[in-house]
Amino acid sequence: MTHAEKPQSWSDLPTELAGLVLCRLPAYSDRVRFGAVCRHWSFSAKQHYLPPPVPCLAFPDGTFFSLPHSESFQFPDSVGYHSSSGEWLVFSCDGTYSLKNPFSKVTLTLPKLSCFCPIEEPEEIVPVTLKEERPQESLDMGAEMSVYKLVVCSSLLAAAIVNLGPLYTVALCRPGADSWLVSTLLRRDQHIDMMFCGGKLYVLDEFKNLLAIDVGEDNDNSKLSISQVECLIDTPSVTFSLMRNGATSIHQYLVESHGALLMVRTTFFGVLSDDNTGCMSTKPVGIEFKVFKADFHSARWVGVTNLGDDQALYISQSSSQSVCVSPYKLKGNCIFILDDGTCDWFWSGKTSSYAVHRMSDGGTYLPMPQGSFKGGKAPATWLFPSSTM
Amino acid sequence: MASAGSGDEKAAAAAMITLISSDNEKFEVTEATATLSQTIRHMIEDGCTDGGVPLPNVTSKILARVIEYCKKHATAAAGEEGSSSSFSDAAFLEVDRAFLEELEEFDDAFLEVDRATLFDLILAANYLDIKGLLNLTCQKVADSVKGKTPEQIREMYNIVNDLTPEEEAEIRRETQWAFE
Repeated sequence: MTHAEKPQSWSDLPTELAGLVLCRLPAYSDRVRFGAVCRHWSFSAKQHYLPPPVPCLAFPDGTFFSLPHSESFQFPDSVGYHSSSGEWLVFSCDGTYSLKNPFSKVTLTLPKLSCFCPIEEPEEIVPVTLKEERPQESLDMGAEMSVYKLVVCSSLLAAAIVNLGPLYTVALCRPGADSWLVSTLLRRDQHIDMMFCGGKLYVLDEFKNLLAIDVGEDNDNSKLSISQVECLIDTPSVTFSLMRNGATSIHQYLVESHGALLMVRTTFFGVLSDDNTGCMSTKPVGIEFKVFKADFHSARWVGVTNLGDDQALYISQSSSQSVCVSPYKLKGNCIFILDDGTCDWFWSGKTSSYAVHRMSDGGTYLPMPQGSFKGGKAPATWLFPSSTM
Repeated sequence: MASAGSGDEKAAAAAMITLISSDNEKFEVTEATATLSQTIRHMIEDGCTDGGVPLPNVTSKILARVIEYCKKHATAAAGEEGSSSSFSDAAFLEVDRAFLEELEEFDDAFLEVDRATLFDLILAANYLDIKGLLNLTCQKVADSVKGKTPEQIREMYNIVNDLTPEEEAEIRRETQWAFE
């Protein structure tokens, strides 16, 4: 029988109790250092499926801030990234995208953008609403393909909204494969965001239509196909606020939270002003946040005023996620919006790279300066480290 | 023997449970206090608490602290039950809030212990399955390691680095960034 007569060491902290401590550490950096204390703690840190930590704020000069602290770390391998997706940083070089996980150091290479072919997609799967829009043409194999948004679904599947000629469509690939597989049927004037959740790809277009795409994977030859496309929302039920005599910059982000599919719409308002030198510039006067939930039953976006006290949304053009912050004693029901390069006039002169919007009282504030990066080729980005170590 | 339950004359009429520490000290506590521990609650439900509940994993020193925590929080739990029936009474809610603040202050003061005691409290809270105390103590450890290097943590908790140079080199290779 053990009792405390023999002095016990903290290195003997039972694995399950070490897990209870680890899951109360919101910063990924603290979890890593906890796992480097001694052999047993190192073992313990690898045994648990921990709640996701709060994201890191990454800058293209290789500086990472491990939120919620203001401690910064250097990642020399991350200098010059292009964008991010989840835990992956995306690099672009000579028409080829590669993915690097700065924590695990795993690197994946995607097919050259010049190598693409049509994906297998039975025509009857495309909903009627999409078919009516434009006559189907064959894919212009001579067109140049560029990536508008890249989503890393897993280490075996990447998806992208791509620009092919005048149109946007969806392309899939397997890291390491020879070519991208492009959808002919999903071509639209504009797709604006895409996310991967529960095995499906969700795509939002400029009319706030929401599509769900099932990716088929042939077990025998691991060939990718599109097996089903569902139009979940096709009602333009969302109205906009526009400002008279001013500038309005609107952005939409898809994010999953508590099993619900949310669309966050941020609107930056500005007025044109003369800066005394005769140059006109846009002066920011406000920012508005609206959150909508996809209601599949009525096929509409429904307004949401409360995200839940345990949820914080971290949004940016590259990558958005909802993080459960209640185990960390951090305030939820708020949205962290990043200076992701989409509205320069709003962020110019600001000393912080993100703003926090409280849903409870509608207030938006800039946190203490925690590094800021202006004028680089790539904007700051969220990086969401994995839950396992 | 200074039994932790003996001071509570009014509660003496309520069902009392005797807890026996590893060094054979007896503590008489009310059932409400004892049942904050799920482990003891199950023993009571199974009717096997006659003659006292032996707790061979908990010393008298630690058990006295655990009982102190449970007594305070059992009162809080009773207060919550009372408030549900009179939630519209603003004055009552005011009292409630003051009590919650007092409870927080109690918790903060309760955690002002040395590292060895904190370790024993965590083990005891886990063994006795007292969720609130386990949360409280694990949070204390988590808060104390935030922003600290492994070396600082080792120093704070008196831990010997038993990683082999090879293991340490591997950890450093994978997580060099966290050490600079």
